[in-house]
Amino acid sequence: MPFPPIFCLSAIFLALVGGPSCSERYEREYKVVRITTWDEPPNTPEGRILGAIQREFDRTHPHIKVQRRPIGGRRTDDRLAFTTAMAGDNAPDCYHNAHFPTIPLWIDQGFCYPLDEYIREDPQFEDVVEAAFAPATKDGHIYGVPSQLYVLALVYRKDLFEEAGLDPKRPPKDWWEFAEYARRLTDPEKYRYGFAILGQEWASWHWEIYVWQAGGEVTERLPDGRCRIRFTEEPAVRALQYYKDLRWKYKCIQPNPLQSYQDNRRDFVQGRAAMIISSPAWIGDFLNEGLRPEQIGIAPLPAGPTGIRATQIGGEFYIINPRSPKEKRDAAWEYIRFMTSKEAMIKRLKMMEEAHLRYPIATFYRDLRVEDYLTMPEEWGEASATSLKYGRMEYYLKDRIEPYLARPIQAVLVDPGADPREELEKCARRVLEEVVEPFNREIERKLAGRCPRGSS
Amino acid sequence: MSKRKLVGLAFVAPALLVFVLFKYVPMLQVFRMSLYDWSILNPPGEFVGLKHFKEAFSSSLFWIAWKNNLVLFLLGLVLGFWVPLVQAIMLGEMRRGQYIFRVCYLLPLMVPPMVTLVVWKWIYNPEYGLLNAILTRLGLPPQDWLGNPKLAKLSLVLPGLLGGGMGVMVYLAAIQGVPQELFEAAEIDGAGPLQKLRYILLPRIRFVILIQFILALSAGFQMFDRVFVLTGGGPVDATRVIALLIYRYAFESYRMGYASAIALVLFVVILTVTALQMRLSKLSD
Repeated sequence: MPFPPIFCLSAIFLALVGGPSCSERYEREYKVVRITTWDEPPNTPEGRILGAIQREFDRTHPHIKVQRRPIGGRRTDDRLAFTTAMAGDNAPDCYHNAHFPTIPLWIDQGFCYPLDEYIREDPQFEDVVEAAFAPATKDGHIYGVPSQLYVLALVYRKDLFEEAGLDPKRPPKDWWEFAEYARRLTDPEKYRYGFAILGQEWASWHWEIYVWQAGGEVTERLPDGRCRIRFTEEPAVRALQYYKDLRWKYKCIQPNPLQSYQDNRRDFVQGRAAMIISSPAWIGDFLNEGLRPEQIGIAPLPAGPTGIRATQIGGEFYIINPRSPKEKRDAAWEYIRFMTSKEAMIKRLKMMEEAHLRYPIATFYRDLRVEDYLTMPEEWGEASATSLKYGRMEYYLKDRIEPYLARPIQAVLVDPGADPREELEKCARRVLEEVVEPFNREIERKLAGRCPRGSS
Repeated sequence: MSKRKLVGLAFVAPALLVFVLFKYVPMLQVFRMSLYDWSILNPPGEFVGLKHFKEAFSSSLFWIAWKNNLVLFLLGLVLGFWVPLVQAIMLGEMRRGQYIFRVCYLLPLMVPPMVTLVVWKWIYNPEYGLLNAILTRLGLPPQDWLGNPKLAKLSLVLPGLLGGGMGVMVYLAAIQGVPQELFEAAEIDGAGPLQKLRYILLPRIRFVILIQFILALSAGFQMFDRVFVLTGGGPVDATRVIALLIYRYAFESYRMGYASAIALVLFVVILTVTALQMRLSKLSD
C-alpha cells in the first residue's frame, strides 16, 4: 500500500476538523456575516432569473454569505411554516414573503424588526410609491420593504371572445357590458362559462372591489384606529345584487360558484372560463401552463355604476427577523436593499425580455415603466399601468371580518331567493357584536392607557 | 416493588414517556395558552383568564360550528357506522375467498386520505363529475353537491359510507373470537340467523362496538381534512366545523389563545360524551 492506513485516517480526521475551522477563521478575520433566507428560487424560468440576481448579490457582496432555502408547500403553507419557525426560534434572518394582509398581524406579534433606521437614511426609496409601504407601517414605523407587488385586473381569453363574436380588442368597460359579454360567452354545451367568480371562503377579496366601484367601502378605519362597518350601505348592497344577477339573471358564472380560486384558474387555462380577475404579474403562470400570449387579454376592471374604476393592490414584503443579532440584521438589510433596488428590477426586466417572459409585473418605482423593457402586447402594459393608478389596499380588519362576509356572498350565489340587503344586515349584526365592538373597546382601552402595548 | 414489576415498568416506560410528552404535555400547554392572549414570539403574553371562553360562547360562528359537527356526526352514525360491521359479519360467513375480500377492504388504506378527498372533489364536480353523470344516465337532475347548503353535509359524509378499512378488520377479529360452540348450541335450540346475531354475536362484541363508537365520535367532532379539501367551511357556513375554526383562528389570525380555548372546549365535550357512553355501557351490563 502506498500510504499506511493510520496516515489516511489522520488526514481524513484533520480535513474534517481543520477544514471548517479554517473557513471560520477566514470569516472572522474578514468579518463575513452569514444570513439565512427562504428565497431559494424554484426551477422555473422566473426562478432562474431570480437566481441570477441573487448570484450577482453574492458576487458583489463577498462579506455576506447568504444561505438560501426553499419555502416549499402551497402559498398559505409558507405563512404557517414561517410562524412555526418564529415560535421555534428557527426563522430566517430575512424573509421575503410577508403578505400584505398578513403583515399587520405579524407586526403585532413582533415578527418584524422596524426598519426606520435603515430606510430613513436611504435615498433609494425616495422614488417608491408611498402607498406600497402602507400595510407595513404602524404607529409611524416601517416594518417591511415591498418585494412583490400585484394589482388585480380583468384577464380574458381572446380566442373565446372571437368564437363568441366579440371583439377581443374591446373588453367590457362597465358592469353592464361585462355581464352582457359574460352571458354571450357562456355555452353550457361546451362546458364554458363567461366569468369565474370568486365564491369560496375568501370571497370578499374580490367582492370588495365591486363595493369600491359602486362608490362605497366595506369597512372604514377611523382616525383613532377604531373600525366602522360600511357594508350595509347602498353601494355594498348594489355590489352584492350584481353578484346575484351574474349568477341568476345572466347565468354566466361557473356551475359551482363556490369552487376555489385554483379551480377558477384551471378553468381559465382549459378554456372553460372566458374571464377571470387576476393580476398581470401572474400571466407567467398561465403561459407556463400552456396558454400563448396571443390568447390572453388584459384590461382594467370594468367601471362600476358610479364610473369608478377601483381595483385591489397587494403583494409581499421583505422583513427582518427581530431576533437576529445586529450584524445579521445589517447584512439582511444590505440584501434587501440590493434585491429591491431599481437596478435589480431593471436587470430582472431585461432578463425577462431575453427569456421571452413578456408580461407586465407591477413595480413600486414611480418612474420605472415596464413597457420600456418588455416587448409585449401594448394593451397589457397600459392595462397594468391604468390598474395601478386605481389600486387600493384591502379593507380594514379584513383578517377578522372575512370569515363572516363569506356567508352573505355565498348566500346570494347559492340561493336565488336570498336578499342581499337582508343578508348583509344579518352579517353586520354578527360582525358588530362579535368583532368590531370588542375590537373598538380594545382600542379605546389602549388609548386610555389601561391596556399594555402588544395585546391584540 | 418486585423485580417483575420493575422490569415491566422498564419496558413500558419509553412508550409512556413518549405518550406523555406528545399527548399530555401539549394538552396541558393548550390549557395554559387558553388563559392568555398568547404571544408567539414572547410567550405567554397578557393573562386574560376566561375572556376567550366568554368570547367563544358568545360567538355565533362557534355555535354554528358545533351544530354542524353534531349533524355531521349523527349523519355519519346513522348512515355509515353499521357498514363495516355488516361487512365483517358477511366476511365471517364466507367459506372461500375471504382473503381476497380482506385485501380489497384493506387496500384503500394504502392511499393517502388527501388523495382520496381530491378524487371525491372531482366526483362531485357539477359539470363533469361521476356522480352527476350517473344521475343524468338515470334520468335524474344533476346536483350541486358541494355548493348546495342542503347537500353539502351529506357530501362530506358520503366518502365514509363505503365502509372497508381497519374497522372491518377489527370487527372481523372480534367476530372470529366468539366461540363457535355458542352458535352451534343456539342452532340446535332452533335459533335463526337474526336471533344468533341479536342474542349471541352483538352482545359478545359489544365492547368493540363501543370502542368503534368512541372513535367515530372523536373523528366526527374533529373532522377537518374533508371540510378543508372539499368545502372550506361553506357553502353559507353549512360545513363550518370546530376543527376548521381552530385552524383558522390559530394559523390565519394568529390568535393562539382563543384557538386553544375552543380546542379545550372540544376536548371537554368529547371526554364527557365518552365517559357518559362508557358509564351507560357498564350500567347495562
